[in-house]
Amino acid sequence: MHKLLIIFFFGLLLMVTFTSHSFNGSSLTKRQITGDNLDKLAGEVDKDTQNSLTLAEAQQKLNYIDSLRGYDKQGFSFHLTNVSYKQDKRQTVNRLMVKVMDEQSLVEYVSPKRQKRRKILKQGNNMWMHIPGTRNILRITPAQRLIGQASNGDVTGTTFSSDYDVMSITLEKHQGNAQGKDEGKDQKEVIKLELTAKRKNTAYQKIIFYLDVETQLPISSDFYSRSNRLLKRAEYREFKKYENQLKIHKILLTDPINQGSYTWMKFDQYRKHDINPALFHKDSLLR
Amino acid sequence: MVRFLICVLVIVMPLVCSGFQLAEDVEPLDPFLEVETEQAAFLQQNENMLRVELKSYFQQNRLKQQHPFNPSNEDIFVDAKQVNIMDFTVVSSWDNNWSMKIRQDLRYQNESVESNLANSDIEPNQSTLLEGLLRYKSDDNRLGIELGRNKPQWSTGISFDIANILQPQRSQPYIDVDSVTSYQGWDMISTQYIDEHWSIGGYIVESESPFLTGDRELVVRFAYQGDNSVSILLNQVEGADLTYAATWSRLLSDNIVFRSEWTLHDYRLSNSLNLEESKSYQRLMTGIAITFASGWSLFAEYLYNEHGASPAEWRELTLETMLAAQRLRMEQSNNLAQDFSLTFSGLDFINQGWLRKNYFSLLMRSQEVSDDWLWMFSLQSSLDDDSLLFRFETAKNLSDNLSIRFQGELFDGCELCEYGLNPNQSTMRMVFSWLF
Repeated sequence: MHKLLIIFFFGLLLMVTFTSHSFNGSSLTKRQITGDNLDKLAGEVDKDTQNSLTLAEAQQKLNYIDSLRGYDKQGFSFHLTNVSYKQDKRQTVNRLMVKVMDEQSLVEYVSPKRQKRRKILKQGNNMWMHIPGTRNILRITPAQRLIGQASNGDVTGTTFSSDYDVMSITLEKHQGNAQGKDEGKDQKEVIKLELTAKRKNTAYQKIIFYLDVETQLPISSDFYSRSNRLLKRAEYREFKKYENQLKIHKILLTDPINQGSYTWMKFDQYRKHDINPALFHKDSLLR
Repeated sequence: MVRFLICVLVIVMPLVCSGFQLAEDVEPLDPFLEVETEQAAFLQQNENMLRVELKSYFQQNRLKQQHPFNPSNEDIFVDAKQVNIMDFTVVSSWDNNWSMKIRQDLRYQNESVESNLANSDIEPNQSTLLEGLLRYKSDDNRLGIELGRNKPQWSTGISFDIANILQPQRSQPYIDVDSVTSYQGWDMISTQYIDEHWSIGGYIVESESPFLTGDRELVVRFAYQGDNSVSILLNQVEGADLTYAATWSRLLSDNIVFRSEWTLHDYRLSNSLNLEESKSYQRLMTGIAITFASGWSLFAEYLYNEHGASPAEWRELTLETMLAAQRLRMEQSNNLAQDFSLTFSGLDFINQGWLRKNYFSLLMRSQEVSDDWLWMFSLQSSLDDDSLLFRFETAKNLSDNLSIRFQGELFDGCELCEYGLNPNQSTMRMVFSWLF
């Protein structure tokens, strides 16, 4: 009887987990768009709206967004400070040093004191964590929250051009934030870039970027679950030049469900340098 | 059964509740306008480190009225415990290649029977070298050699870490995280080589296996890191055949991790149970970890343990021990030496973990936020006799230096069931930690 109950519980748990991902899957457009058919689709989109841009342009803009967080295949490092608020009350600050090479990242905690020297390794979509004082290396999920609204994936970075396909690109009046705030006020024309994940079961199945028409820089992005629920909004508040290249300097992450909960992220000290590939092996985390 | 259901509900409840939160919507101010650059904080991160932690805890146990294995008419089990620990860690690097790590603890322990700390046995100033090793790594970070006391851990399990084959048996159902001796390693020389996704490691270890008499053991480990991360471990103890272990983990989606482990021994990890002829003993752990949008994580694991007692063995062992203890209590023993031996081996047996064949564990943990309360609810159930251990834990960092933790445990099961045999009905522990 006891065993039956556990099997039932496991089954229920798995069912709830998977159905929560697959519900509303049909509400998302299932078209996967890559390379050759981008322009064809752009034509289709043009029939619907006079404001559409070509999807080849969209891909270019996506590459540009990626370049604001990295240096393509070149290894680099940066410092990251996260300040998290809950119910508008300052909750916690942590500081991280991040090394990146291609699709791999290594994050090391500088503070708070109790988490100092904690390390997180990301390779593609796989992530591992080592907590000092222990000798275990734990496999963790990209969706696991690191601090406040920032997930492991936010900190280690996502290469949008390789992880997402462009679904559409349009010009539209900026509607403020996703909840419609500022609606009716002085609305500015922005580029709306809609992306969909290449892989199933990613934490953010759809992302919508709003880009400034003049500077082409991202203003904000909305992150949606597979069930088309808005999970998170990122506002790109400041950019800064490092070694003559423009990089994202400050991001504000807000939680649309728990209003008053938000996280500020400050990226600083971007530096290009060669990084030893063996550092990105989980067995290296103990050295 | 009803209690089991209640425990499951208590564990899952925080997840349900975490979806209902309301707050005011205000424009968030940029904190970096006030807090100027933290370059100094980043510069403090260097290769040399000294970490000193003072930990102090007090534990109160609610004992069972009469334990069936107690050979005396008086209480023999500890009902209160106070432990003060100073934990030192030093890491020093000379250049890019050489480094050294030492971790040493200093303990002052005070235990009592019948809540009388004043009359308790005091064992002050115990000190243990937990880790002490010299480390070399090559310029390209591929080759590493370590000499000294070290504690490699290869398991990916949360409640059941069976692939840590150098520590074959858990001493408790859960690792006592406050007991620094649980971090004590073994004297060894080891080497590892990393090549992109692959790594190979070799370990020659001074054996401390309680089940074999060999002085040395050798471990060879092959590991692959990728979407499917796997490792294979071969362990040779002097005087025994090879022991095999394997681990496998995979990310099923951005919020679900699957993990599994397997081991195969040609000897039984138990001194109290007999060897079955021509038998090899397997263990299998399989489990998942799920991260929810609310920040809570759920870990569920199942363990099959062939080393554990069969129903007949369990009945024989517990009944024999109980009757021997009963004879001693009633002063009716015809063979005192044998009855005492039986009783103490029974008491020693129940002090270990994983005594039966089938286990299930469920753990629910809130998001780790350094300045907020961390909550954890878990249960471990011995499926062979439906007994269980429920555990609750909450912790908070009050400042950069001071943190507190409170934990409670509840043991449930029949008198001769695995968790029912624990001398405690429940325990409570309060922990203070000061990080210098």
